[in-house]
Amino acid sequence: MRFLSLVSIAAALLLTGCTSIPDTYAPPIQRSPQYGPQGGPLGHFVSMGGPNPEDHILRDVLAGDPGSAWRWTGKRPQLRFQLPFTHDLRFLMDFAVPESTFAQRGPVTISLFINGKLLDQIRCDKPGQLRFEKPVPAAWLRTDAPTIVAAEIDKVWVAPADGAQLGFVLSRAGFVQ
Amino acid sequence: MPQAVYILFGAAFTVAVSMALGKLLLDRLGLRFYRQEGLVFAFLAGAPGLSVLVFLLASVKLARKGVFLALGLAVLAAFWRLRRRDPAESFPALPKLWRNLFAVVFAAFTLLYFFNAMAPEVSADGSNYHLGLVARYLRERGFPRITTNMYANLSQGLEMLFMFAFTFGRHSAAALVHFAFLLTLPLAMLSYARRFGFPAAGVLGALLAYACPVIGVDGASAYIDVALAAVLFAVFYLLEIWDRQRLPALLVLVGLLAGFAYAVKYTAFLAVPYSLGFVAWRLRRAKQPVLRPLAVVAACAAVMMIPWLAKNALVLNNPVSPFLNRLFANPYVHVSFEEEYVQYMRHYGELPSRWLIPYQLFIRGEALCGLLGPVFLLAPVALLALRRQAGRRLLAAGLIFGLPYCTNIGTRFLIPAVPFVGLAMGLAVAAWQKLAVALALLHAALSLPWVMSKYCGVWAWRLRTVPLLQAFRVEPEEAYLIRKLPGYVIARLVEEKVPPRAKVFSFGQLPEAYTTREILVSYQGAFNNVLMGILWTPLIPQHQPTLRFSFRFPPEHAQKIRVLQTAKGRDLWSVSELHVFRGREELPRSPLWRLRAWPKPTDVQFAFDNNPVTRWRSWQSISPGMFVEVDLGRAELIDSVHLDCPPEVAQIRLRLETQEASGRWRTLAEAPQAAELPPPLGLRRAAVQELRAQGVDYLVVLDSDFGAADYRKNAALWGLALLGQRGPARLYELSGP
Repeated sequence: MRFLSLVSIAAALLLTGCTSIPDTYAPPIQRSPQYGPQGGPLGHFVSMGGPNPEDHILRDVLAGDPGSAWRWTGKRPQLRFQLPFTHDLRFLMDFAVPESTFAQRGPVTISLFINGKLLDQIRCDKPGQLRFEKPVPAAWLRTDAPTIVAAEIDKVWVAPADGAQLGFVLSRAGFVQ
Repeated sequence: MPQAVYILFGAAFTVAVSMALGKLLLDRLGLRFYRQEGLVFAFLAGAPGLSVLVFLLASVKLARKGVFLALGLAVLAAFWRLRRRDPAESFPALPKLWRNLFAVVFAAFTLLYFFNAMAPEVSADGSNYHLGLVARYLRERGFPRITTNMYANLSQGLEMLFMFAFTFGRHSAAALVHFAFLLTLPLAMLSYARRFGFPAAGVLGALLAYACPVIGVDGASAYIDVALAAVLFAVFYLLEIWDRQRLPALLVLVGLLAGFAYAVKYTAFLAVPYSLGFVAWRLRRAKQPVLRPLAVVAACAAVMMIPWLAKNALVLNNPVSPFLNRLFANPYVHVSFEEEYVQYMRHYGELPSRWLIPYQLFIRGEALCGLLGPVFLLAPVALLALRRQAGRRLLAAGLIFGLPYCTNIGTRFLIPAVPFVGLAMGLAVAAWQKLAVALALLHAALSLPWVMSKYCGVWAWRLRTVPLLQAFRVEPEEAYLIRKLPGYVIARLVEEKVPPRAKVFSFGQLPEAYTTREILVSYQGAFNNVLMGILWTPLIPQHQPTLRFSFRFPPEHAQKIRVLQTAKGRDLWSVSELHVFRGREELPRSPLWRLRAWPKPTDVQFAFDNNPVTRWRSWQSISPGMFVEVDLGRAELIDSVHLDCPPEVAQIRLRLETQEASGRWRTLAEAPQAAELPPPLGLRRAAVQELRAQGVDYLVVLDSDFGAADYRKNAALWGLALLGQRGPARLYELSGP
């Protein structure tokens, strides 16, 4: 019985575990800030539902409802971005051509310019949510000043209520890898 | 000297030392058996002893050839001096028909199994971890502290014998040790049946088990299941003898073997309650004292179990790692992994319906890794054995030792039950001699490799040939391994290109028994899970920190703040970064800060490293009380806290609290505002740099691995340099910034 008791006590002690694991930790070495979320107002990407879309908008993007994740553009919207580097980047844009406008104006074409150079022309043959994504030559981009992205839609839709000239619905745009 | 000689020496020396130790123990206990069963019990009683001795040597870093040789020779010398010389009595001779039947089938399958066991080891688990770990222990002269391979956490009682044999004859010697248990199993079954008066049933039962395809392929590989079946059967057998003889010394052996069953495989812990229950039941029925015999069984079992429990408790804070991680919280195996693993083992991913289990189990053998053979479809006939006491006890033991099948539906998990079911089938039909002989011959015929190929699945785990030339290395080992083991060339590529002591990350298992480099397999440990998460983050937008939760509140002096999770659900919670702000200025992360989190406190720094590819994760389903906490070192004026998270947070509910001087936590802000964040740039390079920071410099990617095409196409973007390619695998070096 004594042996059994000793075995039980030893087992109980072992079951409690013996490796010392600290309770608290100091902050670790900080990794390169260029990879992290943007510290300043201007970054490489903008979401219309994000914290600072106004900082990225240069012109022709209409004000949206508070908290809304999308905004109407006009005929020639312009955005600006600050890039940490220029290699291996793709331009991405999530946008929509609403069905109600498509019925009236039909297919539209959106021309996209990066720092004044035509990146592509997007032909929208049907309404709905769309994603455009295309690599951008590094030579077109710069890190010492904002990169300007402009779009131009060939046919605007005139809102019957106020006569506003509307292009497309923009959700997110910017540079990804 | 030819390699075959080393192989045979390694295996024979291990078996001989085991038998010598066992014989010494049996003599010491004053136990006498019939000659035939004496050999069986000597081996099975000695194996636990040798296993414990090797464990102790490995614990003190003395696992080396010279030490093992000296130990073995000392045991043999002691045996030679101390053995009892009076000859043991033999069983009455078997009837001629049954003797001839047993001899023919047993001999044929023994040859098949022997040559397969002696051929180069190509089994999946054998070459991946059973022998991979053995080889590593030998390289390091004993147990290194391994926290990144869950297989190293399992009990490895049989691997200790493999290690002894491996020292002399390497992989095949270890497989031959398992083959020795395979030989022992039918002999033990036959002895049991002869002792208790139903030899014909014993022959049939033994042949049903021995020729069973999954038992054959398992027993001829460096696996452990057949050894486990032999040990469990010995526990049953010894208890039956004890029930007749009531020799207290038998209970010592029962306890040691029941404990050794656990040491061989966790699932066999049932041998201990089975033994205790049986002894208590029989003694109570006889109105005899119960406590002392139970104490003997329990104490002897504990001797065999405690080394493994203690090793895990010391190294991993969890005596039964990789299981029960909720109970024994530790940073080495995630609760979520354990739950997924257990769930997977209960269902096996490839099986669309549970109704297919019998078909796979008895005939096809593909989805459940092996087959029992079509004759076991007649297993219900074993119920006829319930008419006899022996039949009832056999079936009860088979049921108990088959219970782990509920936790893992792989065919291997039924191996411990097969001897009992086989003997019960024998008891049921042995009276009809012609039927019994026909059944044995049919089962043997259907278990021959070239017959099996007519009905089982193409990918069924089974023996396929008699590799005579390979066993004796007429065909070089290397050539055979290249042909038969797909991962072998990858392991050799790693060996060739990766420097010693470097770490290699792999999404899937590699045959680690054929490389000396450390492989971190994605699922085999918590650290590895984290590395996989880092590598996946650039590829999966839902894993990227694109959602910011913002708590805003009137400026307040606070020293300790925490974000508390209050919901219950199935989601995991994760935080990529936690920022503390005063106005528009973020408080710089001071060395005076102290960070805490629950669960997974050891990963809390990932939420404060300014790295979007790392994150603190709960690694278990969310429940109220989980938190991430910061002690700012002194009271600071703050007015907002931001959490950057991946957008997979539907069930999460968060609250920000601060600790008052009294120690009570008070709510600072509830219902944070959520806003979208831009997808970060440079994730691929950041992931590779983080792996390097974690000490991993090489990456193996198979074409079938998630993201393989991206690693290939964007190697420069990741910072990967291709070192070599073999078949579907690529080995990359992670390059500097």
